[in-house]
Amino acid sequence: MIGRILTRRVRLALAAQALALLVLGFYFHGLYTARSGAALQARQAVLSTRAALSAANDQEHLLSDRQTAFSRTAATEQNYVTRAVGTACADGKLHESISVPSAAGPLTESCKVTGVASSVLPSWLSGMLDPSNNSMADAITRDLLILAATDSTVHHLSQGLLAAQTRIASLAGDVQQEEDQELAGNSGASGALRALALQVGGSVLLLAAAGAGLRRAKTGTQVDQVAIPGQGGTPGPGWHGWQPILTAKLVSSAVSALGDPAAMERYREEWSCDMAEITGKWQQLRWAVLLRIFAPPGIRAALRQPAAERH
Amino acid sequence: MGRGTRSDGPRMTLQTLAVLQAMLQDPAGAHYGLEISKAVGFPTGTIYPILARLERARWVSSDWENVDPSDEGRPRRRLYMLTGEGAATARTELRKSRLLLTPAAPHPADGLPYPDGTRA
Repeated sequence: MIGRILTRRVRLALAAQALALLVLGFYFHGLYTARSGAALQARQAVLSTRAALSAANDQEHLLSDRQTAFSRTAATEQNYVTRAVGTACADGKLHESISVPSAAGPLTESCKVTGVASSVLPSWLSGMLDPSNNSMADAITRDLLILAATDSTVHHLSQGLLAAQTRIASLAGDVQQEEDQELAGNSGASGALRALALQVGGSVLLLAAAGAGLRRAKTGTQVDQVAIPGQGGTPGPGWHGWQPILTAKLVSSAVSALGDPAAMERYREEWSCDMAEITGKWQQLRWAVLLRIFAPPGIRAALRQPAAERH
Repeated sequence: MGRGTRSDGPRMTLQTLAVLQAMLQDPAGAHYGLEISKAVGFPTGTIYPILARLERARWVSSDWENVDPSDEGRPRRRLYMLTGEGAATARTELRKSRLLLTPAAPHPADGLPYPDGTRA
């Protein structure tokens, strides 16, 4: 009677565990879906930011090239202006009162302010130069205007380049952050998937065990009770954990699957002996799973073959 | 004749040959399933069908261990022994399988010159 009640309790416990595992399975499935969606979104954000970063890098290269070219032009124009003013000083065509220690000095200063240079330089130069030499004034004015425009362009390009570099640094930070998010999403999703697979597998095994027990209880079939080593064939206080119960169920199932009563009787005892020699609950469970999968079909096939005649 | 079977004996798979080789280590001795499984390194689930086939072909006989389970503290073992015919046939099969698996030895004349003085 106690044995029957305990057996029923074990079956109910198995069914309850299976139900709990199924609920957990649904939970992990939801978790997996959410993590996968988050990982996908993070991936798309990474791709988008990488494209923006690539465009910013291209722009930076373009600006850098143009800045280099304009700097070279500015240097050339500065050289022209310096030489023209130097020539004018040597020819005595500049007014004696204006001191030009370095011909490039005051001109460079004036060129730094673009708007002022374009409007003030002609009159400033006409005051400095001999009024009879208009062509020289025109040439220097033209060179100064080109120099001023080039300097302004270089200034703008420098500002653009700085902005591009700031944007690149910001985008690179964004990419790193989004990649971290993607990685977290992926690892969370794969963890949830593993947990889901374990939950579903465990649920199926437990449901199968509980179902088989309930079927036998309903039909009143004799259960192939396989003893757990040192604990007897009846569930009792010595049964710790679910592995020994599942192991015994698997071996019983393998015995039942043989079909032939004589073979069932023989292999029940033989496999009980094997199980008694295997140490560790997990090792026993592994052995029982492999036994349940491989042994019954092979033995049934061997039993179907005609026996060889004795010589 | 079924797939991979012989009309005059069990199927000679690599697992079957391994089981026979393990039993031939002590041809007169008695072996039990778990012992053979440990010796060949295959799970017992695959060993028992092989033993059943060998027993069906009468290459192997089996009997219960002659002990009292209550004295031993464990159920009786089922012991498997090679029959005389089984041991002889197993040796032949193993020899054949070695010939199949071993590369052919060089011929003694390999490398010697031909009568006209040329070499291969």
